[in-house]
Amino acid sequence: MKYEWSKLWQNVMLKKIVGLLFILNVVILVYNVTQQEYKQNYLELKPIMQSLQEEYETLGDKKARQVWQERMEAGEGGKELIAINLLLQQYDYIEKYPSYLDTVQEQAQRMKKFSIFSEEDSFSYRNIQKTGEDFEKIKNRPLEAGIEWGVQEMNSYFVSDLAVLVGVFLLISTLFWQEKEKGLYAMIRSTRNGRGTLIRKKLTVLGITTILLCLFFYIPVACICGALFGFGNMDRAIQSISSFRECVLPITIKQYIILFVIMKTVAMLCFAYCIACACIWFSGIGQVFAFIAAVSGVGFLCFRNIPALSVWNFFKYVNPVAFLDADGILGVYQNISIFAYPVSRIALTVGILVILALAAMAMTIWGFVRKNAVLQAASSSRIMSWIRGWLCYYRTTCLTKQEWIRFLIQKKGILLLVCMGWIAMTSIQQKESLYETKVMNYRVLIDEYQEPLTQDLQEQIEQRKKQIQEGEETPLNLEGFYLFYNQYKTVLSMQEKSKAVGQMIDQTSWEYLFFSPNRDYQQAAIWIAFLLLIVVQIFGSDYKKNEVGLIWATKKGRGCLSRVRIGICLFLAILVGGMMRGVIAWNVIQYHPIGDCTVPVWSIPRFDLLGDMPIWAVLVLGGMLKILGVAVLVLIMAWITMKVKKQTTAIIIGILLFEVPVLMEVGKISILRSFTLAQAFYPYNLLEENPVQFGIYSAVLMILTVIFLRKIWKGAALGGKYGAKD
Amino acid sequence: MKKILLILCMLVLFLTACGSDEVAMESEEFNLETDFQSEYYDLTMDFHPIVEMENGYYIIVGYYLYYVDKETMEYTPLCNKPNCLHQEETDETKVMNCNAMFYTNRMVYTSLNYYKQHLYTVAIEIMTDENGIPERKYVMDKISLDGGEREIIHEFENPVDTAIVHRGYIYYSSDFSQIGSNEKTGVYRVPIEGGEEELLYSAESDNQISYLRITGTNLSFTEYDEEQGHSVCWYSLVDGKVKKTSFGDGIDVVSDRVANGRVYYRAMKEYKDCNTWSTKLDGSDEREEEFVSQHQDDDYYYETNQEDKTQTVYDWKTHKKVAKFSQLTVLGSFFAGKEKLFWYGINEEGGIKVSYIDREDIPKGDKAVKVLMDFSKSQTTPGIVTVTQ
Repeated sequence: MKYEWSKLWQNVMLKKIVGLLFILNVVILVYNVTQQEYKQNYLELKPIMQSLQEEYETLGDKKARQVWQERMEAGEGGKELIAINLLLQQYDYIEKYPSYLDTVQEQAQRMKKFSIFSEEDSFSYRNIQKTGEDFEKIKNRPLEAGIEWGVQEMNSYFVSDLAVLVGVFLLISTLFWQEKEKGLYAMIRSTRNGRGTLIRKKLTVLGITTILLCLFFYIPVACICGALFGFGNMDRAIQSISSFRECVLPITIKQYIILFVIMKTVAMLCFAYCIACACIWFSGIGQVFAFIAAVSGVGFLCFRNIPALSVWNFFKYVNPVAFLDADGILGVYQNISIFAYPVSRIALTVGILVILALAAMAMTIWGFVRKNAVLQAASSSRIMSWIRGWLCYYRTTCLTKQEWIRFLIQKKGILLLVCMGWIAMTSIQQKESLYETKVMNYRVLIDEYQEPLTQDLQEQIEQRKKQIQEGEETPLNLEGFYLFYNQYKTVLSMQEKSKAVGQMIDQTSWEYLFFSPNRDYQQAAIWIAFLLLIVVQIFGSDYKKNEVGLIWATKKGRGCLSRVRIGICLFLAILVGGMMRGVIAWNVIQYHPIGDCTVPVWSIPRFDLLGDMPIWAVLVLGGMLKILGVAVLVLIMAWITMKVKKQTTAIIIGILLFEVPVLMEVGKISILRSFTLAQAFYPYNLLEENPVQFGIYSAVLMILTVIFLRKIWKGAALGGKYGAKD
Repeated sequence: MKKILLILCMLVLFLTACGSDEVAMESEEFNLETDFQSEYYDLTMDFHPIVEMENGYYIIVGYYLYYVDKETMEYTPLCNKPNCLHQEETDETKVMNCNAMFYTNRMVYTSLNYYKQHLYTVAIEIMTDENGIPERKYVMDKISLDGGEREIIHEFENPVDTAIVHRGYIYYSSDFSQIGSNEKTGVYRVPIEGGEEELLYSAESDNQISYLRITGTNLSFTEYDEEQGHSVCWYSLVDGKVKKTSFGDGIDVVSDRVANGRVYYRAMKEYKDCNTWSTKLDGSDEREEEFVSQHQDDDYYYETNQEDKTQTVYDWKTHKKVAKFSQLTVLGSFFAGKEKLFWYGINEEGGIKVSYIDREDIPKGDKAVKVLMDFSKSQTTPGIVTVTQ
């Protein structure tokens, strides 16, 4: 075990990354607070709330309400009035809470009498019974008003989850993958005390370090939230906070925070063991990464898209994303039907996590001890021999073809491409989009007047408006007409400042094409995961068995090999990106037409800072920024892979640099957008808000492209620094 | 020999199965498990808000679905969570958690359907991207009888006016006016288990089609034409033939009901009932009735007076008045169920009131009418959700 600990302790990269993650975790939390006005308001309201609470305790309920009412009627005080309102809401909630609990009991008794709920073998009956019993346990708990924002902020902050996951991945790579990468696997499996002891020790060290990592990240977050916003009296019942109305745990706020951290830790422990199991059973780090990405992606989709009442709701609550939803697990009363028996979400989650963790540990031990590497090599060599047989008819000395075959066949890249293609195809729109009536009528008008905004057309529109106002014409929907007319006035005002002639463009179309951050960032997350995988596979696999020394001594030179590999990576990047954006383009052409792309972009009211630039130029600029972004990503990842010489470390760094900022965007935290490649995947909002910044950002990306291209070229030419491992 | 027998048996079974489906479609006999309950439709906004089961009723009131026990005539929201506050919920994160809540476009005629141990209703799914205009799609929800499970079984190709379920199919009429389009409306059919939508009938020019209902093997609906006014169309589910009943001369034919083997048409002129016509089920023997009535069932016919909001019940055999009721409300509906009569309409507060009387108590008149539900406006809508039309 000392060896395992020393491996971790001596891993400088591990310490640096964990340290960096810790700093980022704290900085992002604090910065996020400062960037959101309503959170700033909370900071200012905190001392006022505390003094008002003291006043309440001194005066008593009746007198305090009277005094506050007078202050509210006087209308003076500004922030104090807001604080009074918030506190009054809390006191009203506390006052009504006992009757709410009584209502739950009454409803439980009443509902059982109805024939649809009275079947004793049904989930409904059992759920009603269980709900009544669970809420009975929290009766007569004294509630107290106080600051709630600390708990709410802690619940909603998810960046620590990402940081811990990256840290866990790093731990696993050090404990389980390092030996494989260095080719020492066969040696360590022949240990003096046996493989079983070795793997158990690895798992023990992993467990302990994961717990420490979780405490290292989650406790500071809780402390900072408490320091900034406050938790109020932490010994009061958690049900004192209205959002925890349905929490049936008889705990205080302090105990809730502890349970929150424990819940996250248990989930992370389970993930750690599952990933460790994957490391044992999969032969390549790419497969492990793909496995993690696939499970996480599917979990995210299940959590977000499966309705709570669906027959499949089991998968909504049993997936990696749901396991990290600690406040949802602890704070919301939810029973899930398991063979018509109501099982609380808490019990289900903990049960599944424990079972999964134990199963993963067992599989890890079994895989490490029993898995016959020879057998596995033999089975894979059967497939390989078939492929070799096929390739015998297709011998080639062409470097490009060789690299392609290596990636597509040997690294199973073709499966990855098929998978990406399938993901892209799922975005194809099958039918026309429908909106509420006013929007649909607006679209009809846009379609009718989608021509250059000449004097004639202006007169027609004004004439139509006049007819409607005078009652000579009844529009299909008045709101829809004014939606159209207001846009027309905006475009007209821009046209008056310009020399060009504008056109009416459908807002639903431009919103779909240019301003859909959720879609763009989700696609970016998938795109980046794909790119990380292929770049690390293509550039990093040479180091695995120290083949790099041989491969670098190529006939055509290392430079040629580098060029070929970069070319392949860039081609694949653009291919996959093209598939995803191609589907978007298809949907736009079919169902969200923009119209004439040569008209000035100010025809789209949001783009009012770009002068008379035509729409197609904006599309080109946005596309170019994305291509630049992926080019920079590919080059940086290639350089990192060659520098660190370990695929696992390269992937982790790649996740940290590129994937985490995009995942934060998916979670609506944009703090890192301008400093990372996340901006490149959503370029149009930058063009909208600050074209100069767009220009600077593009220039930076171009410079980075040149720098890293030169580095790789230089590295490939010199060999030494990026050559064989010592 | 054995193989031949086995094949023959399979063939017979297969043919029987096919035959059973055809027999089911062609049968005039009402089957509670599979057939549209035509007695619970009326010409109002809340088109078909009630379905009857063996042990109870399901009623949509506003945005919430309720279950009413037949034995006690007590109601409860169709939500199996005692901790749910239903329409009294003010926490916006919890409003949509109520099992009984349905988001529907209030311009869509509310239609509740029952088919083989599940409820079906049209709902609207709203999809929003940040900064984007919310998209919507019209879907058919399948709901378990205790409200605990709900899934989308079909996404409609077109905006929906009315959707009903009958013998394994969803029938719906499209309404393109909701999207400001002049596209022709039509009546479509799609298998409930999934499949392609089939156009059964396409309206002429920009006529509107609404008030879908099915009685036996006939799908009927009202088609509105600016020149001819309202007509009733009968589409035979057996042979696909369409029969249109239109009286012209400014008379709107707006409804039809089947009673005692005849089809009775409700005819209006300038929005007032002018006469009642009837034919045999095959369309022959058309005659104008001596009475004017808006509803008919096998026991009685009912005459509504819109001015004083009263309803008089007459016996078929004697044509004498049996009772008079004053339960009608503004834009109210009347449903003559098998065991009870229901009145469903807007009360003075703008909410919804549902009253009923047992059939055997009809002769007692208003005194025997009981109020089932009397909700204020706020009780019919969720506490937080903003409704857009």
